Amino acid sequence: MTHQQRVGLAAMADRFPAAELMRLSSLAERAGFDGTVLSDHFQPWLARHGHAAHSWSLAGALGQAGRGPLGIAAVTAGYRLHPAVLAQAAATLNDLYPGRFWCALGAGEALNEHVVGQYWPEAAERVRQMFEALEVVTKLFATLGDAPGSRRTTARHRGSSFTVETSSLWAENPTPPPVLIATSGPATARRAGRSADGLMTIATTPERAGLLRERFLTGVAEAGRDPDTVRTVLRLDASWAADEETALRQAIEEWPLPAVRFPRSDVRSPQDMEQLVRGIGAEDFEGRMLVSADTDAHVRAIQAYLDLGYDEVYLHNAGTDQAGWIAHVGAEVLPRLRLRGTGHDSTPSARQHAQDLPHAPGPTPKEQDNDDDRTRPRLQGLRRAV
Amino acid sequence: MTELVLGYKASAEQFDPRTLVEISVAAERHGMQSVVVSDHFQPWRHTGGHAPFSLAWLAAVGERTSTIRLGTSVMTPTFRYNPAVLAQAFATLGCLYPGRVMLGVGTGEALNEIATGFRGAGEQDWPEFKERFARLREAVELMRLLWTQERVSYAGEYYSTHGASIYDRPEQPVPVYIAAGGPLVARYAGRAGDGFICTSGKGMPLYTDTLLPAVAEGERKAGRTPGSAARMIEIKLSYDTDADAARENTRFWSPLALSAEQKHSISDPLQMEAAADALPIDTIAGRWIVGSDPDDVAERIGAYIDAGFTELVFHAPGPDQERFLALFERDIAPRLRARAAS
Repeated sequence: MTHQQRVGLAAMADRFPAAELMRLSSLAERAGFDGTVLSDHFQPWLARHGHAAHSWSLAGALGQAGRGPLGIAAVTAGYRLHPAVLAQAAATLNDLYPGRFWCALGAGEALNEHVVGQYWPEAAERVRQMFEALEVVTKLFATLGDAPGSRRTTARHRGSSFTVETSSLWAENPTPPPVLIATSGPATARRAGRSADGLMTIATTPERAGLLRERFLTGVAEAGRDPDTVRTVLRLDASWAADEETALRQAIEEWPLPAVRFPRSDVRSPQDMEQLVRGIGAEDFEGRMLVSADTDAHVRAIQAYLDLGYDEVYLHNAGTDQAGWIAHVGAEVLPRLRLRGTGHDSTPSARQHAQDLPHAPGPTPKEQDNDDDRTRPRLQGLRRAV
Repeated sequence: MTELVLGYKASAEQFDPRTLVEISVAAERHGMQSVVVSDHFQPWRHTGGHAPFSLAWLAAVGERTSTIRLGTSVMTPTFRYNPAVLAQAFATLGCLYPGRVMLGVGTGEALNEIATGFRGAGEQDWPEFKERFARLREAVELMRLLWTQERVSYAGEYYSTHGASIYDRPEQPVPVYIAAGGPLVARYAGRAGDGFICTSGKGMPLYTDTLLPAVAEGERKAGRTPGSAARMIEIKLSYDTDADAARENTRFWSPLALSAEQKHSISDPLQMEAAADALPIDTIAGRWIVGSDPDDVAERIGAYIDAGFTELVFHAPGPDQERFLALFERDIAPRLRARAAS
């Protein structure tokens, strides 16, 4: 089965209070968005944003308020949350909202993880720990039996970051929720393809997003996995407003992060981040985030990622008038998108891509990326506007 | 005098999370004023057991209800969770459901904490009470700092934060109820708790001679007004108009009749279950108020009101919780309210 493509809402827990996120998710669902993905933060990137609701609690509420797919991305195991507890939380949401819940594991950011006062390792170690966490979660999910509420076995784990003593996951739903890997690094994407249920990334350019998806599917093919069992998911930040001046102003004032051209996963404080975004101007967004009042440009940008084959695209707009933007997208953007699986389109599926892959150049097995960087222009020459 | 609060214990061990949401919605409809839930990684009982993640579950109930208070009874904030993260979680719940959220905490059980490999797999290095209690005090202190201050740098013996702020928090800090089975922690609940929690069925002298006086002593020593800490008790009640059903319904909960030592030291649910099922039904039912006569049952519960408890949370053992809620609303609640008012 090839996934039907979907376009949903990126509900930013680092920007809006919990009750507002509830409202926006409901508005989006009524406007035709298909699903919500929540960000997971202990602190916001920028002090001015001033919010960071607890995503796992909020997801429990969001599921009751809506009917669509519900994800949390990216969540980090270790530091704030033991991967066994993460598995339990995901399993409970998967019981409450069967077939709707998913999450994506990321390597983490000091901003959110340093608060508990542990050592903050280098990027390569964080990536290693992320994959160890995926292993822990997968082992615990494997304890679920075939019948609802049954258990097949117990799990245990002793790795360099995590220990799980003999235990089972006491959940109902025999089908575990999808656990994706969130990354912007090609080598990590390829590695994720070997074991994760999918790839999640934040869009910078279609070239880079296309490369990541290809590397992920290379990993899927290398592991001999069925590409129809995995999904690729993308968050797309943009700044749309009714006029150009507002679109630019809100990008600078509300969501300058994509324009920051250095890694930010070691930044610890929202106050420091405030200093780091000072002086960002219009030119800094070029090739980083679409800033435009032109609805057609936004439709083309979203379609470009859909045409790459991403199964799910979650939209986030820089402005503070999220309700107005949601209404605009519902009326002017969503009806114009061509989605695979809805009967009038020919976007390549993961299977078609995978069939092309044996001849595609992949990274050598030694290739490694730090993966702490959603912003660094690692691929020179690909930095052009959508 | 303090208003009597009647609440419902949602049995996360016994029902799957979806079903339990529906039962809790029904609890509000049947006049219950609070719903509290346990927070376990593994159930006491292996067969037919459940162990949902309470933070997501509470939000699901909050979204479906409008007045009922929501909380844990109890959660251990000191091992598999970091207290700073719990402070964030409860602050978010407090924002979503203002004035309706409480956090009930305890010192923890090996069953739920060892599984996540706390301090050395295989070594069963489960800390002694002294450390568990010290962790709890530190966790409560840290959570309250995070609920009331910004950029909290905390250097405790067990926990530390570096310039941590909680960005979404309710105007009033979330009330913290402290569970105690002995006088030491009960005094602490009186000193520092917004409430004190204990469980029923351990013989009235424990409450009237030991625990409640200890809570009062704690209040006094901290210079608090007597009664500042709410007195909450989880009452195990198997009431049914059918006397046999009332008795048999308790069977699922046989692990509760294990000794405290067994509960703290057994870390495998299968062992726990085997130990519990070996107990005779009289022992199992012995921890419960079992009955079919509403006057008799209300009288036995009333002893706890007379002892000074202000929040009674009822844990019913049977498979048909809606039946219990309806019978309780009709037969028991009015009698208890009349007694409290008299």
